[in-house]
Amino acid sequence: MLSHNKKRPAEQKFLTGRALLNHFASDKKQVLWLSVIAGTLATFFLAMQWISFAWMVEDVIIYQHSFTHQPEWLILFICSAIGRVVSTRLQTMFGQNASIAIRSNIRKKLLLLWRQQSPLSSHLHSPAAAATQWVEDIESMDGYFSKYWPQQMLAFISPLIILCVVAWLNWLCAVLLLISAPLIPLFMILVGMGAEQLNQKYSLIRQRLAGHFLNRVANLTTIKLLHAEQAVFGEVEAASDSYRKIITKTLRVAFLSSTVLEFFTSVAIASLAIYIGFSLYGAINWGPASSISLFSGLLILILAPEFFQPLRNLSQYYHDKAAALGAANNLLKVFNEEPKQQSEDQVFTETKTDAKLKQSTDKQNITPFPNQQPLLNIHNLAIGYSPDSVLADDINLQVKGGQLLAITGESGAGKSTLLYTLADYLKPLKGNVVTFPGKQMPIAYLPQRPWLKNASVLSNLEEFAPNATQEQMRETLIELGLNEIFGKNHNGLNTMIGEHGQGFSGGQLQRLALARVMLNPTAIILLDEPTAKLDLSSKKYIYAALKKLKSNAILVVATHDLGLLDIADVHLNLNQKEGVEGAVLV
Amino acid sequence: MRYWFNLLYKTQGKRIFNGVLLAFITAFSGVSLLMLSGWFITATALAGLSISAGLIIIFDMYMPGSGIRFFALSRTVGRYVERLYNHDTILRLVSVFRLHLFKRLSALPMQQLRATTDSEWLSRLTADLDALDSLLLRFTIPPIISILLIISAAIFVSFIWPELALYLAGFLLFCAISAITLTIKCTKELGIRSASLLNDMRADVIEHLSGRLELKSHKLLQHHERHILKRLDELDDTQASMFSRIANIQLLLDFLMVAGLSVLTIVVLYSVQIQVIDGAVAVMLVLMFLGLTEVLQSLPSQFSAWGKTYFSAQRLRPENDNVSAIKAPNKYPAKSLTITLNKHPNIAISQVKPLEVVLNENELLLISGRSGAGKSTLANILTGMTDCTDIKQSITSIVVDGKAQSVDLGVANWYANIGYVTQNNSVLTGTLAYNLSLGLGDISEDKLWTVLQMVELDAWAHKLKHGLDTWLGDTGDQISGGQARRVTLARLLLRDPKLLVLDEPFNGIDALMAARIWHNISSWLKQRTVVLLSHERPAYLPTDVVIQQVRLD
Repeated sequence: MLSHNKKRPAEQKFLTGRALLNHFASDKKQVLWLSVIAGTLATFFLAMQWISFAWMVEDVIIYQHSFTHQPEWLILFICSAIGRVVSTRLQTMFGQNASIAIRSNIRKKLLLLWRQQSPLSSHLHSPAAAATQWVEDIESMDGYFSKYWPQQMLAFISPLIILCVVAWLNWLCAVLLLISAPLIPLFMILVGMGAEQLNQKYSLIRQRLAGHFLNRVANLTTIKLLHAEQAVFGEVEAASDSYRKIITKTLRVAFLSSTVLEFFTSVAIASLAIYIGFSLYGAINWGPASSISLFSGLLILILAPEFFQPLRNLSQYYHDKAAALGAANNLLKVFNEEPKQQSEDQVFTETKTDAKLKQSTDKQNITPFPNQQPLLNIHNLAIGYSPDSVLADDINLQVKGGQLLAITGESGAGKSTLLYTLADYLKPLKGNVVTFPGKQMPIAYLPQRPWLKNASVLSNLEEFAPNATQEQMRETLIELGLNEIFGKNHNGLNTMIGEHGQGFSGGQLQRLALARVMLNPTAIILLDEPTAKLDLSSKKYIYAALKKLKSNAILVVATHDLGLLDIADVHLNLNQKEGVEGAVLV
Repeated sequence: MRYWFNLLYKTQGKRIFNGVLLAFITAFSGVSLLMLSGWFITATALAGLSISAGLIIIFDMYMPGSGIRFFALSRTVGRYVERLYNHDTILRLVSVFRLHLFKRLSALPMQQLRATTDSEWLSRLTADLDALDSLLLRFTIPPIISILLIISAAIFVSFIWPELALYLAGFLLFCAISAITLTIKCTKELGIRSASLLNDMRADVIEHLSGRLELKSHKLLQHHERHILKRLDELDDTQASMFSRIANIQLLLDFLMVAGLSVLTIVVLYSVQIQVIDGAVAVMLVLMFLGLTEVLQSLPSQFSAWGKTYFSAQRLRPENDNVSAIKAPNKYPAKSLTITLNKHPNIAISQVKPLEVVLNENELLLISGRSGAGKSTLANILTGMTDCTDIKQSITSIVVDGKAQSVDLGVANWYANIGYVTQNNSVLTGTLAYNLSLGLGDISEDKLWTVLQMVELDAWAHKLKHGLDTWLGDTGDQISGGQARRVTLARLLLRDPKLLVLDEPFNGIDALMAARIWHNISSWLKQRTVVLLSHERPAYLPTDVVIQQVRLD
């Protein structure tokens, strides 16, 4: 079940957001292609529909036949119209099915990556931002997969089909269409470049104006306390207004690109209509003009806008693509991060070049796993977030089950960093950490501000201790002095813990979190400042709980609290290099 | 949703009218271009035929030709102007909505505002505001354009064939209206469902990631994902069925249009045959229908956003506008204020015996107690940030300057000006000077430097590249928690609050600096009533300072 036991194929790196989108699109390529095929069929039916229409019109108007003269044309007309409508429905269906499946895949993949990567990764610093990626960003890819992807194929195929029909009728008209086709993307690129330049120019000011409103809303309490509402009303209005002006400046250029398309479509219809009209009238005699009939003329006229339609659709979906690319670029950071290596050999990160280290290892002759007792062996460890800023160096100590290791030091000395390293969230810069049981076994880690779900006490406990009975839970909570939960004003185990722990004090939340550990104790338990900011009575309960937990496990506690040092067996002061009190001599 | 529609029409009525007019011109030009072209080539074909048959007819080639060119141009220009104009309207609308929302939020009593600091709530707010675009771009312009086009087409056709005009208009109006109502009816619930699922998933993911440290060490991350995956499956299903419903309505509309087109084709061809209308008119009518079809076809996809927009509008709806906001009484500085609290749920000690808090002018009151004893709750009561009903229930008496007052009135209102340093540091995005002088209007730089010096930020500020104009917050310089704390203190020093409530004011600042800052500001503090909240008597408080103390333990 555990992720690190699975064999993982070599992780793929994505250089661009586009590569990422393509990678996930390729999983559902068949469905997407079905959508393209349905779209192609639709174009085919469209051509059929208008061929039969033009045929009938010529038959009735020019040859003055009855329209029932050749009923097969009428039937073809109706059938191909129906065929077109049905094909379009299929095109939509395939596109949407693919999009749903692809987005679901990306979301699952992202969850997997979050699971594999270190929880300290920078992109997880703001869970709300990461959640926005997972929900909104991936949602915004919908249009790209369901519409844009098939359409970028159809933007080639459909005009080609129409061009063939037109060429068959009149080569000059086909040449006209053919010439205009490459001009469109050219102009669009030019316009796009101009818009991008404007975008860059206003980028910072735009960001600031865009964030302005939200920031002021977030700080509304402060604004009210400072009696600054009136001033801020003016600001909000002014900021929105400048934002509008800047955006409009960019849009003025950006909208030109669709205008180019519109222009070509209109001009093509107009010039073809005039050319065909004059040819039919007999005013033009050169070229293939004489071969034009009402049938071919009318057909060309009706098909001309359809020649441009796929391109117009593509440009209409263009912002779907831009949104998807933006979202994909945001995801690149997550996808390209080195997944945390969990394999055994990585646990023993030894700096091979460090000959001294090797020597000392030999000298100590550590037997890492003596008779099933939990063991934590830290050797020549250097910790920190990057080799340039080592927080603490040369940490050597050994702790056994039944012992409590207290880590002290000024803030910034690396207490939490050391806990992260022990929890394997952070790689040692040097040296190694050997634990028994190995890193595959769960350990408990309790951060300074414990995580509690916005749910009942029961489900919070169950999440970590699925096997604990309600009776055990009740006992543990009472043991931790949380009797209040079972009091009048509460609902026992069904008491809800509100968002941000509403209704509970910091000390109570800390004890609730500890209850989870007590209900499902692990061999190694890491606690970060479990008693900081707590009152004495809360502290007493926590001391007692730690003493109890200690009997079967190794406790590692980062703390400032002198009271906790009293129950510590080993004391590591990160500010004093020398001397590890009570440590097993190494 | 009606609320926002009203706001839209009230504030932007004229622009909507212009925008619709522009969009109509564009669409009208498009349809006309097609019609005129079709008529033109059929007419020329017939004329050409007659000429080659030896008949002499007068056919003006140039009028229709220039008409075609005119429509081609007006369509292109119209489209550009229309898009630009309507997007500008949208941005104006966003501005109106924002200001409106902001005013409404700021009119709320303090206690309801605390939710606004939640980043989760904020991003929802943005998304919801964005969704309101649809009100104009999807629900206003397209249906109006469709109906206007149908009416003008009918008027045009009525000159040629009044009866046909009636049938045509009737049929197309039926299609348009049923497409709109059917789409709303069939997709609204699913749209709301999928919007709310996305919303719940957000909360799930945030919760999942907030617990990643604990879950990961316990190897429970994958186990915990089950909550999210369950909802993801549900979302996939909801979206799939919503998409297929929209596509089916589209299919139905398309079928109706195909039927209409087929019937019209048969009718006009038959009419040509029996010589009721001429061939050119017949082709023109069919092409007109074709042009109208294109406009009507977009309706289902436009209105499929109804549910999502409804969901957003619903969330943004004015929450109890008639909030029983505490009417501010005549504010005057109270010389003394005594509040008695009884059985407040969050202040444990008041459960045992009534808690009396006495504030005397220019005295320092220390409220101490362990975490969770209710210090911040009490601070919120003193500053009027707590729920009114809560106050009514638990405050048994308010005595101001020896006179008992009605409990209905909020406590904080006895002070014209309150300075409150809450547990959170709030630094606004903006310059350092802006942050300090927020709401004070023009203020001299010297004053700013003086207060910065008092909180020992002057050295730091001098080192900044842009000094007082340094941009703080997301897109600017990041400042540490301790610095932010001191900025919030400095901000108050520029003001003249009568009551000052300091909730652990030196959190994140080391003891020595705290003592120095306290010393720097002590003469300023002496002129005000100060309530200080702390675990115990703080070390930075000089031993000779006489204080009143309320213990919550």
